[in-house]
Amino acid sequence: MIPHERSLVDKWKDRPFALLGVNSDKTSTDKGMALYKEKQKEMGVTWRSFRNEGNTPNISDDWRVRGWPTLYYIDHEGVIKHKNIRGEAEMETVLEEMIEAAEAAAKK
Amino acid sequence: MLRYALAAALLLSIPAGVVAQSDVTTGSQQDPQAAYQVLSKSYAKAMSAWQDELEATIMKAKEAGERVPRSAYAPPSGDFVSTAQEHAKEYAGTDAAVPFLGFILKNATRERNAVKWAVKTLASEHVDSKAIGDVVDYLPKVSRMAGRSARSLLSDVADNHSNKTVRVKALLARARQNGAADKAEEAVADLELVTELTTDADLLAEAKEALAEVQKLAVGTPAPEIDGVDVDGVNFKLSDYRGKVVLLDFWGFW
Repeated sequence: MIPHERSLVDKWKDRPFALLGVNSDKTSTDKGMALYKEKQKEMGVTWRSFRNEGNTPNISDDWRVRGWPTLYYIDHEGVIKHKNIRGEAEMETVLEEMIEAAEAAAKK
Repeated sequence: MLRYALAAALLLSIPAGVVAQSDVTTGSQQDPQAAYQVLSKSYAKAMSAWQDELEATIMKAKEAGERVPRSAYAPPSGDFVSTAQEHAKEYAGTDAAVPFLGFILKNATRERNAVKWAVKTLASEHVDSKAIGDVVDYLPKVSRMAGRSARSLLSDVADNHSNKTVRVKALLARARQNGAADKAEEAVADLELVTELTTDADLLAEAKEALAEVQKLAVGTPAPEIDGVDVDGVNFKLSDYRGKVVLLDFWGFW
């Protein structure tokens, strides 16, 4: 999961794409933060994440997340286009289409 | 679990404005409504005592650097569920039993057998009664404990009950359940049916609210704003990324 995500971030780094996380590792606590930093280095997590906890309600409650990981595909206008596509090949196809649409819109 | 228990305690602590009775005995010739109030009140009291005790236990464990025993997190629902079950049997076959069956669905935390029994009893003895309208809302909550029976009872009432208001209440409950399970289409269909079946302003308002909730995260709708902090504590928003495609990933290392 994480290596594939990192490859997407690298692949599209010059195009209108962002991977954003909502992280549930309790980084508001010292213990959670220490673990996060250690794992972040080890696994090569290069993208930004919201803290899930400490928001009222938790972001995952607001978004009715029932299982982890959960993925939402949001287009350049902020509209939800897909949910929970997990297969790597399909993820890339769908995102490529969305990125092209974002680029086309930016040219207008 | 704790959150549900606390929510239940809060709900029940709202003053009911009904005759207070100190007699907690069961099986006596009490009026069923009074018996229900006694049960509710004593349950609310026990929940609040349990909550205080839990807080104290957590504090103590923290100071001592020990783990909180798992048992401390178990709310005291067992005795009250048993009492509700006795009352339900006492009034068996009449509408007076329904609130007690509802109490079991609403407050059970791990009393699986009692929940299964309550669902079965509602389905076999009260499915055509108007009174069932007041408890259908609790059926989604027990779908884990009661398995398919809770779901099929809810659907039976939603699809077939002769009283429109009761049907509407069941449709609302089923729509919320489907909405929470991301079955938006089914939820929307139920909510549309609600608007055809009732002219009651409160129920229509509920349907409208449920519809907004269901559609909130549906494909094709605007993503809700996220205004939060990143793992380093820096504020940012989802809308900061407008213009870019965002893959939003709920994750954790654990």
